[in-house]
Amino acid sequence: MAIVKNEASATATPQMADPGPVTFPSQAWFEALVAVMRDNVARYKQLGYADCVMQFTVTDGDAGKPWSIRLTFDTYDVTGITLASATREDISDFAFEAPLCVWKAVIENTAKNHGRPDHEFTLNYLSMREPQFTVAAEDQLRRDYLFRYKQTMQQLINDSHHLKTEFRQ
Amino acid sequence: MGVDVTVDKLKPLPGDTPSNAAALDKYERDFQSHGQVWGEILQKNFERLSAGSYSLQWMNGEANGWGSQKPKISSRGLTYNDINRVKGSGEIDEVVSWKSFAPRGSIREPYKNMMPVLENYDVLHKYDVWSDNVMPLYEEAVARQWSATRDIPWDDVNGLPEDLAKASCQLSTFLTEVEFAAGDFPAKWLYRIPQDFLEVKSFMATQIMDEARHQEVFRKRALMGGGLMHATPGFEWALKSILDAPNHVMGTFLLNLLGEGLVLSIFRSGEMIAKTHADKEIFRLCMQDEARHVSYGVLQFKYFLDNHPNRAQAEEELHRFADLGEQIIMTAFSEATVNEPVAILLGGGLKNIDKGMEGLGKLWTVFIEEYLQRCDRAGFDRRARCTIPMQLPWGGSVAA
Repeated sequence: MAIVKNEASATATPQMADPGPVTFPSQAWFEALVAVMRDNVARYKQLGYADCVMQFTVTDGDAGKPWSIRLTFDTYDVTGITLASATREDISDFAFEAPLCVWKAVIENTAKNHGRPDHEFTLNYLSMREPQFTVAAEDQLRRDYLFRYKQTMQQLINDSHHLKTEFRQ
Repeated sequence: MGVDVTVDKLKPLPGDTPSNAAALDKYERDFQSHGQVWGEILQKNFERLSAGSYSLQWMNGEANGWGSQKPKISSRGLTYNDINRVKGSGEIDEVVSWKSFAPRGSIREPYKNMMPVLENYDVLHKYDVWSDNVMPLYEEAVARQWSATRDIPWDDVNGLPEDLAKASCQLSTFLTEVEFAAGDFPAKWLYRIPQDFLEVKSFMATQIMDEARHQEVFRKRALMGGGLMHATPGFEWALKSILDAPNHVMGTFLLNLLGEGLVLSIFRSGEMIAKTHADKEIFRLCMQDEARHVSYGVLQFKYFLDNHPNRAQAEEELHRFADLGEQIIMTAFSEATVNEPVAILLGGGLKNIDKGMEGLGKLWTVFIEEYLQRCDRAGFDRRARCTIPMQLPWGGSVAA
């Protein structure tokens, strides 16, 4: 599918079929997000490739219990989206961990600003607000992956503004 | 037509022009001292060409198995990793003996006695330069290049109140000052590392390019925001100390692991406290470059320690160096031109500088913990000997 604006726009609108409302957190939500990413591949190519395995964890996302999903970044794509143990898995390089209220605020703010979230809702800002938002990693070298691929990760979150997100209560 | 010459338009006469004659004399003498080799090469080739014959000896590739193997292209293209799987291409000696430009894996042995010896190639041990992530880091650096001219929304930086505008410009001035030293260090060592460590040299070249771009982007940021501000003597001494480090490993520790680790933290803080989208973009883009340099530093340090023939001695010498290095970096960060603009930006304005300094105090603890964790990852336990306090040395707030 083609991009409506220029080929590498940070906020371009993908011409994908409307998947309808998707619930966060869910595997379907992340699959829809990766579909947007693939439509916007020119932007990701411009940013450069990312190679890491990371987890999104909603610490109270499963009826008050932790919910987690693992994404495998390979070059300009996400080649794996699998539900993961909410306890940190050693296969992951790093994990974002936050309660649903934080994720909800991030996704809503990103949507409201059409893919350009306010300062206090960017991944980096949040990563410096522990313990509200935690970047967990086995060691600092793996944690540094986040900083190496920050633009790609932020772009992925920014692309969530194309989704109609509903939130699990 | 008359010439319009008036006294005020006269220019002073040129002063003494520096002469290159002495350097040229030496160059000529050096050339003459190798006259026999030059002569032999020219005579041999001239005689063959005059006889109307071709050599075609270079078409014999059997000595290194030409045509017997082809690299397999991976999903991202043809990487160093891919080509190093070809036999003869990827083997890297623990101690390099080739001090010429001849490519590793080429047929070079027959020509050894005819080649110049580059005596400045004196970093010969693999453990002094290698890191196990250097190839992917190089590829990643090439893939994640960006442009300070094109990729920053420069029209977005204006409109800040004077205190925040000045703080942004001071921070940018400081970072402009820092960045080229971070390029000079790999540049200083690049020409001392032999060609056989081509992957390391390639990565170092990307680091030099990254630092050039960082210098460019912060200079542009300062000038777009009002102008360059004050230089920082404390950091000048720190930067000189990096350049003067006794060897490549120690300098890499001080620059890539400790110094750039803290600069990475500044970039993360900068992104967090940025007041404009342009500033956020600048810090994010610089952050990803800096994180590569830090990652090289951590695993280079680890490779050195893991492969040094006398680890205990190497570790103790590195501790001695780190004792100084930590004091060097702490002294540099005590400068008002560094921590005060950060505190003003953190606090949201000059009137909140105390609040900002408290915030900086919290970040400081995070910075030092991350530094110690990077040392842990490298197998270098600094926790018992670290000379930088976990708490901000000058307290959470400072009386005005």
